[in-house]
Amino acid sequence: MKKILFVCDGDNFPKGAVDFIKMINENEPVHVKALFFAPVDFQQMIPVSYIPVAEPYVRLKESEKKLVHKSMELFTSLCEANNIKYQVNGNDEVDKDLLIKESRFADALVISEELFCSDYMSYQPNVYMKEVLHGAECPVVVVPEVFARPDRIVAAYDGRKESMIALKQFCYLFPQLTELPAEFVYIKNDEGEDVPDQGLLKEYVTDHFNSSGIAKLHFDSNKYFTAWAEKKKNILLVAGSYGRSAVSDLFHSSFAEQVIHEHKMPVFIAHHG
Amino acid sequence: MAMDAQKVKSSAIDFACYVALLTKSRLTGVFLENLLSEEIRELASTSSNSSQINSIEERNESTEENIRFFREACEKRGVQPNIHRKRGIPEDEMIEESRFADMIIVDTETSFKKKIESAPSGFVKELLEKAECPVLISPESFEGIDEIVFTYNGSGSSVLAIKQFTYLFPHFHNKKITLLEVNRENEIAIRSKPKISEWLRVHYESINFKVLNGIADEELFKYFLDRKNLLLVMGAYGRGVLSSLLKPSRATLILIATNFPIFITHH
Repeated sequence: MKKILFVCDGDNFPKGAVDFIKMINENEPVHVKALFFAPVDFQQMIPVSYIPVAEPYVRLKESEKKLVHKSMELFTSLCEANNIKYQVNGNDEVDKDLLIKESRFADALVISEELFCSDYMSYQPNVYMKEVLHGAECPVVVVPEVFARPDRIVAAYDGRKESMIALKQFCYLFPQLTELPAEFVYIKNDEGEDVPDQGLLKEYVTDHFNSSGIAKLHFDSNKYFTAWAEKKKNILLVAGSYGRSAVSDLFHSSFAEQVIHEHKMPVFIAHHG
Repeated sequence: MAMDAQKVKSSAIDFACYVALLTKSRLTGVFLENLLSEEIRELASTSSNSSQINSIEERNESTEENIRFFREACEKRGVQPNIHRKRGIPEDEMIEESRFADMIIVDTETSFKKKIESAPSGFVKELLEKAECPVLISPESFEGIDEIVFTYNGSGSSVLAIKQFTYLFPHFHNKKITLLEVNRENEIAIRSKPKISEWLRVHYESINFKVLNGIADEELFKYFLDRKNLLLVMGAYGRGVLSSLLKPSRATLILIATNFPIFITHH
């Protein structure tokens, strides 16, 4: 059994995330810990003393509570209908530190590509999402709201250890998905055909995936990756190195961010292992 | 599995085969030869050319003999073997392999130095620090596993070690688990206990908690010495509280005085 974290802020209910959890639960039962947060809003950032009358503030809080309550009810009804084990936790506003701490004691965190803290900023990945992706101590699956079951895995490989860490974590967490055809792409815009350590990579993937292929794509990943991937339909992308060191700078312009932004496919990101 | 091509230990192969069967894995025997240092050594020596060639041929033969032995031992036990022969600097070769492996199994005495080293050897220490996958140290003799001890100090890396172990050995979910909390003096016991036990309960059926304060050698030994058939899991090699468990003096004693497999991660 795996312990999966589910996060919902306000009424940004991540339906795609539930669909993803449902899919995983069909093969291996999961235990979902759902964290519900009050919506992110600016009113609350103003110190209470600035507000001469407390009433509007109290009213706002009341309506927020209702929103969260509605999301909780929806979640529990979906879990019960689909036979998913769950526990529900209500919280105040989204607290990054709490989320990171919870991630230390979870196997995976599932969030929405579009909706995660979108009250704050709907352009994704927004600041909150970036912080969570950087800090999470378990792999994060970012799922678009229109979720189609993947029929193919694409793993981004760059020859560095981070991409292998992500791949290994993916195999450990979702062994059932390794039965899908998998493609390992080394993306570099140059003339050569070489993929670093191709022999060793091939050994690893043939031991872990039912059918797999390694390919080199000669283009600028930031510009063309999503267009390339879209043609394949229903893929799940495995990407490493949402790192903290030099790699994180690289990621600033990385294609994983672009993929999340376009909300076209679920992305599995891991940087620990 | 990392091995000195010249010195293959059948007890270590036995253990590696047990792990491979348990996890339904292929077992890659990495035969490390370190020709570079040998050449340098032989250039410096005054021996004649023909005896040099002889000794190289002899070594080659014994390596091939060991590879045959490994292959047969695996096949006899129903494990699919895979052979990698590596002639470069053993540490570097193994670290490259580790990027593309789920786990490395190694004997603590594996060494490529001429002089006799105390366990863990320099090679094993370097592997523990730099490997990009968990390292499992094989015991001298092995009868099975009845209990798994997770060392825990509340840190992210100790949790990571527990998670990695659990993903690699999902079959142990019904074994007895002990969460051994190693504290500095007078620290509050079992930090974030509810959270770690919440996670453990999802993955394991029988969980015990045990606190050791002050990591006094004596207490630690009392705890480990009379134990049999257990497997120890620890994270953060070379850093933090747990690393002191593996300080040369203490580690040597643990590794010599006790006889159980140790699973170590450091990321």
